[in-house]
Order: sequence, then C-alpha cells, then structure tokens
Amino acid sequence: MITFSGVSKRFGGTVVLDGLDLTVAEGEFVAVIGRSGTGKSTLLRIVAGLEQPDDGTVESPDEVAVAFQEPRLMPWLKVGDNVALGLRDQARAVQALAEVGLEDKAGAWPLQLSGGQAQRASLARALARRPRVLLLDEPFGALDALTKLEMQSLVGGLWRDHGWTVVMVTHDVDEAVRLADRVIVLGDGSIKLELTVPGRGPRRPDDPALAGLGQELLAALGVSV
Amino acid sequence: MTTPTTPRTHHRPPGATSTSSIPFSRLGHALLPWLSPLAILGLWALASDRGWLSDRTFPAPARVFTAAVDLTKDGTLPQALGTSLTRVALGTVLGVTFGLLMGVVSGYSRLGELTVDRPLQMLRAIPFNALLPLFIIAFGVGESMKVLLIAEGVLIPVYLNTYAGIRNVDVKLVEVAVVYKFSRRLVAVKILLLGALPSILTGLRFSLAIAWIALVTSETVNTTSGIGFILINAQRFVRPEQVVLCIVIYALLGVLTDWLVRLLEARLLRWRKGFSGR
Repeated sequence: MITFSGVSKRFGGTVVLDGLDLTVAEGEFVAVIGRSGTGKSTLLRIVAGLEQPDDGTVESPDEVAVAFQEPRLMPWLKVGDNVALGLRDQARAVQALAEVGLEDKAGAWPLQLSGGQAQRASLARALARRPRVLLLDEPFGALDALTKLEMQSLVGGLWRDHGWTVVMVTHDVDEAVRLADRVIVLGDGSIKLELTVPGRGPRRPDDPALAGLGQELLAALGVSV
Repeated sequence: MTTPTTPRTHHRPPGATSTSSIPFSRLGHALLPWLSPLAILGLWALASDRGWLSDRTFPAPARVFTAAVDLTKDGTLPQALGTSLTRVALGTVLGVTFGLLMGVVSGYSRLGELTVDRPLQMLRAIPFNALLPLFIIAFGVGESMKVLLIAEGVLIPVYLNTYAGIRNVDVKLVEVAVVYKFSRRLVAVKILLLGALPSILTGLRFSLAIAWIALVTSETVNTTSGIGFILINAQRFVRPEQVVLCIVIYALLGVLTDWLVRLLEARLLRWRKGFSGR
C-alpha cells in the first residue's frame, strides 16, 4: 500500500504538489494523468526515493522498481548484465529476460536494441528485483503505436501474474483506461478527478465502455475533442 | 531488361560512398599509415645521399641502422631498452592507479573533490621537470626518483579525465542506482568508472606521451643506464648516428604505446556506436 498524506513539493517558487492525499491499495493499478508540469512525475519520483516532499509524508514499501520513459540501461554493460546489476541471484535476471521475451538478447549491447526491446530490458531489470511496487513513468511514450500496444499488453499481463501495486504516469488517456483500475487526473498540484475503470486490465483497446471514460478524462484535462 | 553498362555511380545514393571511397583491403588499411613515414625516410636517405644533410650533424639512415645493429650486438641497446621500458611501465602503473583512485574520489563525492582537487590542480600547474631537483634531493638519483617522476607526469591527465568522465556520466543512470539501492562500490565501478572509460582512455594517451618525456628528463641526469644514457653519451662523444638512433627509438616507442592504447580502446569500448570516420 502507498499512502500520500498532505504531500507538497515546490521547485523554486513553483508549487508542483499542493497538499496531495492519495492512497493506492495493495495490488492496485493506478494511472496518473495530467498536463505537462502538473507534478505527475514528481509524485512518482517521491515514491522512488528520488525526491523528498517539502511537506507531508509518503509511506510505501521498500521493494520499489521503476521503468522510466528512457530505458536507462548502462550502454557499457550487456543487456543481461544490466538486468542482473546489483542482484545476488543471477538466475533471476535470466528468468526476468525470459518473461519479457528477450532471453536471446542477454549477450547484446543496449545500443543494438530497438526502442521497444530496450524498454522491455528495462522492465526486465525492474521485475528481476521482485518488487512489491512498480512505478511506470511514461514508459511507452517514445514507442511507435504498434509497439506501444504490445508493451501495454505485456505490462498488463505481468501485473496480473505478479500482483504488484502499480503507479503509472502517462499523458495517454487510452493507455490509462486500458490498463488501470483507477485513473487520477492531476491539476494544480492536487487531484481534479478520480475515475474507477470497470473490469480488469489489460482491456481490449476497442472496448466500447472505455470510450466514454476517455471522453470524461479528456474533458477533465481541458481538452475538447 | 536492365542495361549492365549503366555506371554504378548513377545509382549510388548520396552518403553511400564510405565503403568504396577507400578501396583498400584490411592489409591496405594496416599498411597505409606507414606510407608517409616511409616517404620521410626515403627523403632523408635522398637528402643524405645528395649531401643536402651533413653526415657529421645528421647522418644517413644507413649509418643510424648500422649503429643500431652494433649496439644490439654488444648488448648495450637491449639492456638500455629493458631498463627504460621497466621505468616507464612502473611509473605508468603507479601514476594510472593513483590518478584513477583520486579521479574516482573527486568525481564521486563532493567532499572528495573539495579535499583532493585543489592540491592536484596545483601539482598540474608545476611543469614536472621543475620537480626534478626536489625529487633528486628527496629520492636520490636512483630508480625510485625516475619512476616517481614518470608517475607524477602520468597521474595528472588520468586524474583530470577520470574526474571529467565521471561528471559526464548521465545523472539519469545514477538515479537507477539510487532507486535500486546499489552499493557505493557498484556505483563507483559499474556506473561511474565504466561510464568514464572513453574519457579515461583519452587521458591515458596523453599520459603515455608524458611518460616518455618524463623518462627522457629523468634519464639525462646522473644516469648510467637506459636509452637516455646512450643519448647523453653519444652527445658527449659526438656520435650523431647514436643520437639520431635514440630519437628514432623514442618515436617508435611512442607509436607502439599509442597502438597499445588503441587496442585497449577497441577491446573496452566495443559497446559504443559512434562515428568512426568515412
């Protein structure tokens, strides 16, 4: 479980998070959407331990893993070594690579991978840590549309298998309603809208029930389509 | 039906000329860099032959070669080479080790930088031959003085490039280490040091050039062995062919060490996908 109580964060004079209260249940998949600069990444970075809140408290398990927007693999280590970096049990890395379908790329250099493969390697590094919480920071933002759909299915499937608590930051409304149990719209440092998505992810992208939710979220973001 | 007589250039897209612009085999690529030094050697021989160069000041290549053969036969040259190479090797290992260590300390930690950087920058400002008198007084005229002088020269470029290389490592990669709680050792070695490696190897090249200079400096004072000793003796007894021989040997050793670093780069930087010339 992750709990934000009255969390505020300022950068210089800009208030990014303003007394945020949020609880994410064990095993829940929460998507956070918002326009640029609304503090969605900051929220994630606080859970990851990369930022400290100025006010308020955040409680979360220690076993946290992150997949960033860029894969952030060490280019000088082979893919297998990247996944295994810091692990005592190297077999976990092999297993994690197999889970994301990259078992044959363990000996490749990161620069030889495609964008989708690199992102899967980054995911393998995350799941090799056996996390309780998985943080996804716009992990599919830089991928092409087809690869993106594949990656969403992969992450959704792995989430079902492993039962992680997931917080995913995204600017893609369709992605949010496809994967998450609950979608949160951030604006001006606090929650503007909270929506529960029926059923369990990963849902079919053409599910008619999702279209209405998508419209509602876009309206909350101030986008008229 | 296609016409086989169509000129190839007609179909070649722009920018696709890299493989055909240098139509040399692997052997050609290996030999090509030696072509210009050989041409210089030829010009030198020609100039000596025609009397444009005085044999008493700048002897012909053949005389230098004969000197090399003579000095090899009586064992002087192999022994001197061994001595000099040992000094350079020891000094380099010592300097590189210390430079790397200080670079990591200063690159990794702000406190380390505040402690280590200033004295090393001051040391950098001192021309290392200005340290020679002090080193002679402190360490005598023996091997330790020479090795330490070389180490001092070597350490500076290695330190500077290790520090700069570490500070150039993408902070996003270091954040991964924070999230996954990597040990300090792991961060230092697998992220910072490996990430700084391209820069460190550039530093190593500068260092090796300095190592030879430091060797010459240290070997021309109070020495009884090494290439520098042959050089000083040759000057004293007016043997220009030996003087030139020593200079040629220094040049060859310089090329050799540079080649070794290139080998090291090819091996250690395989992961890079950079521009390699066209």
